[in-house]
This record gives sequence, C-alpha cells and structure tokens, in this order.
Amino acid sequence: MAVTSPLLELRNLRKTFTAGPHAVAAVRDVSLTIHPGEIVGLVGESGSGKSTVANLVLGLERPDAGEIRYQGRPLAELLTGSGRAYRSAVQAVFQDPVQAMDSRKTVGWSIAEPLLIHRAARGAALRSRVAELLGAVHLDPSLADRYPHQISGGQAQRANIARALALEPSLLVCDEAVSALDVSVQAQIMNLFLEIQQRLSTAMLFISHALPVVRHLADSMVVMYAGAVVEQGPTEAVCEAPRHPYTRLLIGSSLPPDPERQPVRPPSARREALPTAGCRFAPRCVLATDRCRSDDPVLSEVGSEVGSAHAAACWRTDVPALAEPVRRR
Amino acid sequence: MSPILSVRGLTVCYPNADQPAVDDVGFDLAPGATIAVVGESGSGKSTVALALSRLLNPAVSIRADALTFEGHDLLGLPREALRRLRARRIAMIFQSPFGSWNPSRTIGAQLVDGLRAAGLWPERRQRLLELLKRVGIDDPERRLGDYPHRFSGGMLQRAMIAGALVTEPSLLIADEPTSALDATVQAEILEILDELRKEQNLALMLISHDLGVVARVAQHTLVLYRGRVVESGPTAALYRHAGHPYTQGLLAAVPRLEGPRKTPLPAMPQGTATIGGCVFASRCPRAEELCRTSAPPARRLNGTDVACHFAEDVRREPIWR
Ligand SMILES: Nc1ncnc2c1ncn2[C@@H]1O[C@H](COP(=O)(O)OP(=O)(O)OP(=O)(O)O)[C@@H](O)[C@H]1O
Ligand SMILES: Nc1ncnc2c1ncn2[C@@H]1O[C@H](COP(=O)(O)OP(=O)(O)OP(=O)(O)O)[C@@H](O)[C@H]1O
Ligand code: SF4
Ligand code: SF4
Ligand SMILES: [Mg+2]
Ligand SMILES: [Mg+2]
Repeated sequence: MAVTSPLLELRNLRKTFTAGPHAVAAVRDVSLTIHPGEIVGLVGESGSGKSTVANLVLGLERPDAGEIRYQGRPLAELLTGSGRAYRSAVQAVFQDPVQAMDSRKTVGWSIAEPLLIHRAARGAALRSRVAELLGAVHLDPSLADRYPHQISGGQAQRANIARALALEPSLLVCDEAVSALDVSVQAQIMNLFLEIQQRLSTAMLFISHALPVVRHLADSMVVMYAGAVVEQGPTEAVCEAPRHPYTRLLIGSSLPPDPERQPVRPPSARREALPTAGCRFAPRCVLATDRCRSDDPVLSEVGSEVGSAHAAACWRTDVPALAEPVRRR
Repeated sequence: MSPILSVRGLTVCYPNADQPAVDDVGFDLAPGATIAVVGESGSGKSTVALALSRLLNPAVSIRADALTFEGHDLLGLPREALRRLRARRIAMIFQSPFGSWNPSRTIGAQLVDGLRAAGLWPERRQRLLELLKRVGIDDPERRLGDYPHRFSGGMLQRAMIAGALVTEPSLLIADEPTSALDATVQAEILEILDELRKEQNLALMLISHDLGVVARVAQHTLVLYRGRVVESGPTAALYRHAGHPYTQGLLAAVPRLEGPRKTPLPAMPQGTATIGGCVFASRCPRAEELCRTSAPPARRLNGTDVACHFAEDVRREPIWR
C-alpha cells in the first residue's frame, strides 16, 4: 500500500478552541497519511482530539495551522466554491445512528437524498440505486418505506452507511460508528466495514476509543493523547510492540472477555491536570524525568525494520515494557 | 455461609408492557462475593438492580417468591425501614458520572447528604476524607468545596465510590459503573473498587454489558436475555464452557487484542420477540420445533445452569466461537 500516492495527507494540523477565558488546544500537532483503500484507525481517550481531526478532514472546521491535502491538492482549494466534488468523495458515519437520520423522512428517502442533491440519479435509476445500496449493507428493500424510529439501531447504522456510500466515496470518516451498538450488532457492522473495504476499496479513517475494535479493522493506526499523536505505525507493530507508555497503559487496561487471561496493568500515576509544557503524559507516566517535564517529545521512528513507519513521541522509548502487555493473572 | 441476598422468581412488569422486563430471575449472593449480570441493551439488567433496591415507580409490578437481604424481606418491609436499610446497608452507583451529581451543589454537600440520610454525620467525616484519599482524590478537604464540573468523569466516579462505601454497606449494586470512562480510567476504578470490596467484605453486584469487565471482576455471572436468565454459573466455567448459544454468541462477537484480525467476526443474527417456547429461538441456528413450543428449563451441566434444550450438543459443537 505504501507505494501508491496518498489519498489524504494531514500535515502538522493545529486547532485551538476558545471557550470563555480558556483556550483548549484540541489538536496540537497531527500528521497522518491515508492511502487509497486503506483503513487508518485513530484511538485515544475522551477529549484527546479525535473528533476534531474528523471535523477538520470533513471540512467542518478549519485548521489554525497545518495543511490537509486530498489526492495531492490542498483542501482549502478543494473547498472553495461549492466543494461538491470533495464533499461527495469524503463521507461520514457517526456514533448515534438514529439521531443521524431525519426522523420525518423514510429510510429510502434518506439514502436517495445525496443522489438527488448531487444530481447523480433520478426516477427509475434512483429507485434501483437505492435498492442496490440497501442490498450492499444487507438491508431488506422493504425497509426503504420505514421511518428511523421503526427500525433497530443496527438497521439504522446500516442505513447511514448506505447513505454514505451512495456517491461512491473514496474515503469514509467513521467517528465512533460502532461504539453505541450491542456486541452482536457491533460485530455485524464491523464485518460490513471490512466487506466495503474489500469490495469497493473504500479508504477509512476509523475513529474509536476502543483499541480492540481499531486493531480488528485498521491496517495502520494512530494513537492520540491530549491533542497530539503519541504513537503510530502498522497495526501489528503498535499493538504487539507498543513503545509509548500511554499505548502500553492502554493495552494493559483493555480487558479481554476471558477470566483466565487478564492483563497485568502497567503501573501508572493517577491523573492530574494536563501540563502546558513538556510531555502531556508526564503526570501519569512512571518513567517521567525532568527532561520530560520541560521538553515536548517529538514523534520519531522506533521500528526495528527500516522504513516500517512505526514512530512514537517519547524520550524514553528505549526502556523495555514495564509489564508484559498480556499475561496470565 | 448463608447468603446476604437471596432472590427467587423475581418478575418485573412495566405498565402497559406485553412481556415482563425481568422474568423469573433468581440467585444468591454470599457476603463479600461478586456477581455480575450481563446481557445486551434492554435485557433487563438495570431493572433487576432497581427492583432490588425498590427504586422503581409504584406503578411497576414487582413479584418474587423471595427477596431477602440480611434476613429482611425487601418486598414486605415498610417504606421507612426500607429507606434506613438502603441508606446504610445497600449502596448503589450508576453509569453516568455527570447525571448522578447535582451540578448546582458542591461535591462535599452532596456527600454529606448521604451520610445525614444514614444518620452518620458528622461521625463519619474523617472516614469520608480517608476514603476520598484512598480512591485518588488528593487534598480532599479542599476538593469537597468544588462543584461537579471541576471534576473529570473518572474523579466523579471515584467520589461516588467513596460516598457509597463510607456508610460501610454490606452490598454494593453497581450499574455500569465504568461504561462512560476510558479504558485506562476504567481499569483504575475497577482496581480501587476491588481493593475496597475486599477490605470491607462487601458483596458486589455488577451490572455490565462489557464481557471484559465482568471477566475481570466477577466470581459468578448471570446472562440475561429478554428478562430471563439463559445461563449462569462461576465466571470461569461460564466463559470457558458456555452451553447456551446466546452466551457463546456474545463471547464470540467481541473483538480482541490477540488472535486473528481483519476477518469477519462471528455475529449472531438479530431476532424478534417470541411468545412461548425459548426466548432465543428467533435468533438461534440450532432451534427446532421443540424450541418454539416449550420453554427450556435451566439445567446444571458442567458447572453452569443453562436454559437450552440442546445444551449438550451446543457445548460439544459450539454455534459461534
Ligand atoms: N467546538 C468546540 N468548542 C470548544 N471546545 C471544543 C470544541 N470541540 C472540541 N472541543 C474540546 O477539544 C478537545 C478535543 O475534543 P474532541 O471532541 O476532538 O475529542 P475526542 O477525542 O473526540 O473525545 P471523545 O472520545 O469524548 O469523543 C476537548 O477538550 C473538547 O472539550
Ligand atoms: N421506565 C420504563 N417503562 C417502560 N419500560 C421500560 C422502562 N425501563 C425499562 N423498560 C423496558 O424494560 C426492558 C429492560 O430494560 P432495562 O433498562 O432493565 O435494560 P438494560 O439491560 O439495563 O439495558 P441497557 O444495557 O440499555 O441499560 C426494556 O425492554 C426496556 O425497554
Ligand atoms: S516523554 Fe517522558 S513522560 Fe512522556 S511518555 Fe515518554 S517517558 Fe513518559
Ligand atoms: S432451546 Fe432451542 S432455540 Fe433455545 S437456545 Fe437452545 S437450541 Fe436455541
Ligand atoms: Mg469524539
Ligand atoms: Mg441498564
């Protein structure tokens, strides 16, 4: 995948919100690349800036600094005028499937709407395209006549995905798209995303706070903490050989459904207010030194293989893991 | 050891519902033991918790063959006696760290209310401060003057735990106590809860849809589906030898940090409500005519109690793995 030219590139993005007297650096420095057909997973705790990244990519927010390029062209340029081509090429799926739909419109209408707006189909062609989209997400065509409150949460999320696929996007931005669903429905929707990647070669920026979900779907992943990327790389490298203490803590905190194989959590200090200088993770990090508290670590390669693109932002990536990621208890 | 909580045939009906939200649920909980109730959304987990503490609106019908806590019949107890029992002996914590606190009053004032209701203020003041420190709230005397918005979700949940345990209850009912928190904070809170539980010999009833949390915390597990216990038993046995297709289906659907990825997850189909017969029949690939006409009774099989006509086959030939 690395040989193709990037579909989407984010370079040193920054976004600060001001809420009253406070300024929140929601995104402090984020760079990432998505290749055509690739699923890039984005994990991080609540408030780490994941949705802000999604909104920047969707053009719903403008960055304070940095640049987004789609197929090599700056987003700012693509969004001048109607931005119609970009807005049909990049589609979103959000967390609450029922709320995302218009409660007064039928499911079929919601799926047809983008096709009508973009004048992509009408009449009989429109009806058959809607039926085809329902089929692609494994929904019965009869559901087209129902209203959002008349279908289950899982069906509603399938309908949202069908709507997102209507204009044959090259990128889906999925922000916590499976987080509110029961495990069996979550598994079905995750399977659907994999099928879409395989069948339609759709790339995805797949955002979730749940590490196992991201590991299952993503080809490569990005870990955010307090607005910055702290680790990124191929999914196997990040999950099996994590190098940043936050990633290690996250892995040790993820509880598998198996009483006999519970992780031993690496030690951590209890959270305090976020520092404004140095490593933002330092107050929780048992490895923190004076340098960590004064100098902000930069993202640098940690992969053993040259060009593996595994990088972490930590001064002490040479320290071996403090606990085996997963061990019998 | 005689149980501190004993439940038999608990059945709860919301007004105008055509089926009970909780149907014939029974279990025992020993002092200091942990039990988990798991199941998907709407399976009746919270209703069980609310029925036990009788926090449901009086229009809701609660029936049980037995509902005894420390020798008291919870259904027969007069309101005032029940209120006193709840204030001192049964503590509850809920999912939403923000929803459980009144935003317009300080954390301290709200914790003091709980102690007053239990008749333990100011006697337990020092103990409250100690517990707040234990759960990781530094400088508690100063922090008690803060309003909830000054606390993170994890800190509110910690303060909630301190407030719940300061009366030294013998039973803690925790309904999704960590579901709104991040994984790292969740793991921390579960550890604190477990330490304090051991110290105070507290019995814990954990309600959760998260099979990882349950695996970590509970000795005994009940799997609820449409208000019925479809399987129950020691957690290790239940996870290792699930004998009910629904238990297997839940376990198989969870994405994991080890093993294959980018492959389809085994996903149970969705189903419809059924009247008569097995509650799971509309979703079960193993269902036969018998399943649609007769409700399977719970049977003991390899350490779990499982309500499936074909549990032997299902265990031998798992339906989802
Ligand atoms: N429109 C806004 N105005 C002010 N602050 C904002 C705004 N949007 C986000 N923030 C703040 O920016 C930070 C990052 O928020 P963001 O929603 O991107 O995080 P997230 O990683 O998506 O979190 P979650 O997992 O809770 O969805 C948070 O501190 C948030 O409060
Ligand atoms: N106040 C109510 N009035 C009527 N029906 C209710 C009420 N509360 C719950 N129910 C119904 O009772 C059933 C059980 O709900 P309950 O809240 O106990 O499920 P749960 O397992 O806790 O679900 P969740 O995981 O979503 O919290 C559901 O069908 C629900 O719709
Ligand atoms: S830079 Fe220092 S404080 Fe930050 S994660 Fe690395 S060791 Fe910990
Ligand atoms: S009783 Fe029949 S329908 Fe019910 S779980 Fe067992 S095999 Fe499936
Ligand atoms: Mg978000
Ligand atoms: Mg509930």
